[in-house]
Amino acid sequence: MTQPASKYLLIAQSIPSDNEKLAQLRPLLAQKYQLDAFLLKQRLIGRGPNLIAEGSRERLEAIAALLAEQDIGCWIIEARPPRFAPLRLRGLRTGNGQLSLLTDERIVSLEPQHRILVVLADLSGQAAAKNLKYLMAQHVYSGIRDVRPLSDEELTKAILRGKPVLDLYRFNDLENVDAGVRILPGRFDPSGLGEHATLSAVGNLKIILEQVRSHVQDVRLVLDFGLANLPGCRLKNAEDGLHWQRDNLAALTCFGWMMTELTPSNTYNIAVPDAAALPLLQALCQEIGDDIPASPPPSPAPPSLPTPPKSDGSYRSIKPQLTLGFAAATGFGLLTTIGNDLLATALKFGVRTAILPMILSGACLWGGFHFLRLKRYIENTPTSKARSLAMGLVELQGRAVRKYALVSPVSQLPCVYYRLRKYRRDSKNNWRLSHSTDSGHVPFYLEDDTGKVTIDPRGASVSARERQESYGDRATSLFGTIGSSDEKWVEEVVSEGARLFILGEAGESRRTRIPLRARVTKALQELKRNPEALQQYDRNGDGLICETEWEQARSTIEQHVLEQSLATEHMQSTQSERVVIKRPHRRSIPFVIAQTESELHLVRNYTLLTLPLFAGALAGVTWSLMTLKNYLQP
Amino acid sequence: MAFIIFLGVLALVAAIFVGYIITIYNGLVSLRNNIDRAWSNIDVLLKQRFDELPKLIKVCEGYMQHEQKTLEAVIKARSMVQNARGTQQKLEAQNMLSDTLKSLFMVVERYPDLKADSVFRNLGNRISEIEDQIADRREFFNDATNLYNIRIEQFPDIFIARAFNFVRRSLWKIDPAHRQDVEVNFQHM
Repeated sequence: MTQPASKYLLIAQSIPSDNEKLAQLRPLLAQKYQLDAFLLKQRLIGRGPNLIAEGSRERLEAIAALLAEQDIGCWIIEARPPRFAPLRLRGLRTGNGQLSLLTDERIVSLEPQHRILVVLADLSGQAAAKNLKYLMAQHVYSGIRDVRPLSDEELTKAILRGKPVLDLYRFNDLENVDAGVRILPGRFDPSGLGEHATLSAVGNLKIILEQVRSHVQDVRLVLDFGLANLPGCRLKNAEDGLHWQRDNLAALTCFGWMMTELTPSNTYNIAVPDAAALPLLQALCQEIGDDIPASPPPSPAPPSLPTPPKSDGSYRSIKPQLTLGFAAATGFGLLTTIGNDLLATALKFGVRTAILPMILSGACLWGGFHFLRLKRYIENTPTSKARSLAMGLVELQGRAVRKYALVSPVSQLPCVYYRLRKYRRDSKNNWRLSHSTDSGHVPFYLEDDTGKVTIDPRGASVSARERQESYGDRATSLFGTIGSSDEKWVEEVVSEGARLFILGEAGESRRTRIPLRARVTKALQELKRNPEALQQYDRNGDGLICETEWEQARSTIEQHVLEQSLATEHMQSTQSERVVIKRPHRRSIPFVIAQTESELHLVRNYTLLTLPLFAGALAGVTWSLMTLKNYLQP
Repeated sequence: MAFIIFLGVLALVAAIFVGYIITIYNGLVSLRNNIDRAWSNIDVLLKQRFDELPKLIKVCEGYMQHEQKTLEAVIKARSMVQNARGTQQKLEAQNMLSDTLKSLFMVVERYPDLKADSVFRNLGNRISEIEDQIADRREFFNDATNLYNIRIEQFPDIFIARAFNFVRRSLWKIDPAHRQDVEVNFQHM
């Protein structure tokens, strides 16, 4: 049997801020090695090691050489699973200048001559979120160009405030890992810490970390779990399924083993270039026939995916309900502007005559039936497969895949949909929506186990689960803090790979190709302009094209265009291009795009909305009748 | 006046109740129509498969001079589909056509020249794709029928279903012969 070819990973150490050379390198790497330019930017700037590419060693070495030229530390490692899982710490002992870690199976002693890798990780994801918010607060809201990620000290504090886990890996003389210990707070006997032991589980973890540092000279601390984008090391949360905590521990093991290979001594070294030789970047520019750009391009698009189309304004994202709401808000605003007395009088009159409670009751009743109908639609429609979609109302479940190089504007995540809202604080300290934008005009794919299909999200009710909110006041402020800023941003994102539920209408995609007759005419016009090509139809060689010869030429061109057309159609006749899920023609039928793991969650949410609305309608009508009674009494 | 309030609240409760009944009734109608639609959508694919067959047979005839029996079986099954009347008869004819097609593709293994023919390959792939889609849509049909059957037996839908004569629909059942275990014999290999 032949051994399967090894797969290698190219991992680069992110740098804190962007620079001009790196901005030049990104589009070149994207063009030459088909890497996503946006992902490259995201992974090369920030903190922690990140996966840049995978594949054959030769290809990765070529990329690594270019990165090394820009002083970016990178490693090429073989993709392989962890050799063993770290043992759980049950207790510890100190003495004779060594720290002994007691596990169920063996005692792992740490001595001064050992080399230790310490991975301190937060499994709650709070520390990773804090770092992201910190970067965004600086870059997006305060406009700082050279943003810096959280320092080690700040990150350690954030990790210890979350759900910390400490993993230790011991190296032997041959530089191989010979032992691994996992320390979970509160899951070991702290009496071995002696007088240092505290009642706090996290406090004891901190002390162990200090003890390790004091007993061993060569300790490398890694804090990037959750921040680093490495294969098999994704941090999950409760929404990722029942076993998310177990998966996170497995991901941490995978991360730890990867870190044991990413040592400073293993960094990829570029050979010292010949003085006469051109630098690699320059050589690459020459090879792909491009000039070295003088300044970074404004928005480099990845070559693998086309740039998202601009909104053609052919649809109105504001639904009729929202328009009504807007009209009501405007009326309210006008009343507020005219004077508080008038507003108060109008409100009092509305309540006294029971008009307001009745309107409220009617709205609740309408809302209740709306969600009930929506719930029924979802329950009553069986799930289709992408491969065998029938035209009409369909329900699909699968993963979102980008069709265009769409990236969310604030968090810079590759996504299939985003919605960004900007709020301003008014004179009464209330937040008012000042600007709203979304990517509702950009189609994407939904992929299930049988194939993929295009989704046109125009007019859909999109429910995204990933939400970022921020107050843009100071560079040092974090999201969620009580800021004095008068501006707030809310970004909702459906990132690539998210699990989606879609209820919409399947239809044939609009044909945008030029009609066959027009293509034949164009080809004939081109033939007329080209005397050399026309010459081949001059059969009698008199230098003129007679009527019969022209008919022959026409027939040949028609045949050629038809063959070309058939070949193109055959190539494009995949389900993903032919069928598109869009808003149903009948406005009463819903078009739902929801980021959810299961249809049941969605149905349950609609049920939870329906019941209080009906209760509200009942309360409203009782209130209005009681008010009416008082009003009618003399 | 208290009586008026009571009447008002009662009227709203009645409105919610009637609205709920209407929603249930409409839901059941929609489910019943979904089953018919799912069935018709299978027919669309069966028709596509039916239309592809003459081309396939024409290509095979050129190579498979000694397999007239197999080809005739496919042609016969196709004409049975054409002449079938009623759902049950149509179902049996389609199942028979699927079986004969399977036999045809098994026999093709003996004809490397035919297997290499690009027209045959394209037609074969096309028919395989349609077969996959038919399988998916059968599953979809069963899902739609199952949803309907569950709904008409659930509370409170059962009252509406009984009042308006919504009856159970049967699922797509496969030929019992296909449920038998396949005997694998490596002795001849």
